[in-house]
Amino acid sequence: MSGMRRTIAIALAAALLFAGGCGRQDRKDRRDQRPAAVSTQPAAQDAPATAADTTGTGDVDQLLDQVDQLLDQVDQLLDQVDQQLSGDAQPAGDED
Amino acid sequence: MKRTLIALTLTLSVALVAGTAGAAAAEPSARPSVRAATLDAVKDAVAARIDQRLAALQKFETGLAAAKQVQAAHRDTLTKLIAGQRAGLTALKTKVQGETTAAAVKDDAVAMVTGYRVFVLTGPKVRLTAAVDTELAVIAKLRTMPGADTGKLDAIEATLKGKVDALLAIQPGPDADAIKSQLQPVRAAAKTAHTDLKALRKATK
Repeated sequence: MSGMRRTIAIALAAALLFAGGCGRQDRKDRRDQRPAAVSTQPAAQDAPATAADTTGTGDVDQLLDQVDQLLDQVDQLLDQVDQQLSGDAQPAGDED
Repeated sequence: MKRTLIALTLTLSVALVAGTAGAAAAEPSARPSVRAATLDAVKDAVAARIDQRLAALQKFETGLAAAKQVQAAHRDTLTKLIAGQRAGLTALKTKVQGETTAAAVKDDAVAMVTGYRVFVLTGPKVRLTAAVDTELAVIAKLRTMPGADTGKLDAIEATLKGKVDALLAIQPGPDADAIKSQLQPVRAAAKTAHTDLKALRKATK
């Protein structure tokens, strides 16, 4: 009879230890998962920015700035040609 | 051209009249030295005008170096043109200083203008080439834009095709109006393309 009680006591203790161990593991897993969730958050925020970059908004603006600068250069060059051919940009007396 | 030659002829005439009047009042033996002095004045006047052209060439060279969109073959042609004109005008300046007659100096003055056409041709060649090649660079950039109007860009590019080659083939000569007439289509094409590209750019954003 006493042997049976001992067996039950050992089984209960083992069950309690097992349950406790599992609980700790669960809490540990949850802890592990929490920082992981935080660390993925910025990645999730980066994703839309990366997507926006692929549409090339910044590139387009830069390209248009370059186009504007080049068109301004052409404007100046054409003005200089006009001055040259009208004689304004030549030494006095020279229209050749 | 006319103004330059009129100015030089007047300088020459005034110098020779002054030389004759001065010589009449002076000893007969003084006449050759007075004439030499007036000839020197005319040679200096022509040399000064050659210097103005050399200074203009320097300016065009600086402008060409700054125009980064000029295509390599065009840059090479223009660089050689400027170098050749600089060498020619420098040699002409030396020739002028060695002349012994007013007629020879006058011929040098004509050669200085009609042989080079620095102002009416070389300058526009450099600037119009830079303008057209820059417009072609703009077209290339606009093609990379999302939703680019390739039809319009093709049409603008077609109006510029061959224009620089035609421009660089124009040669200096005695008829300034003929040179200006040859420049006109290139100038008009560059201006129209500029207007069209600005409109296209405005429609882009």
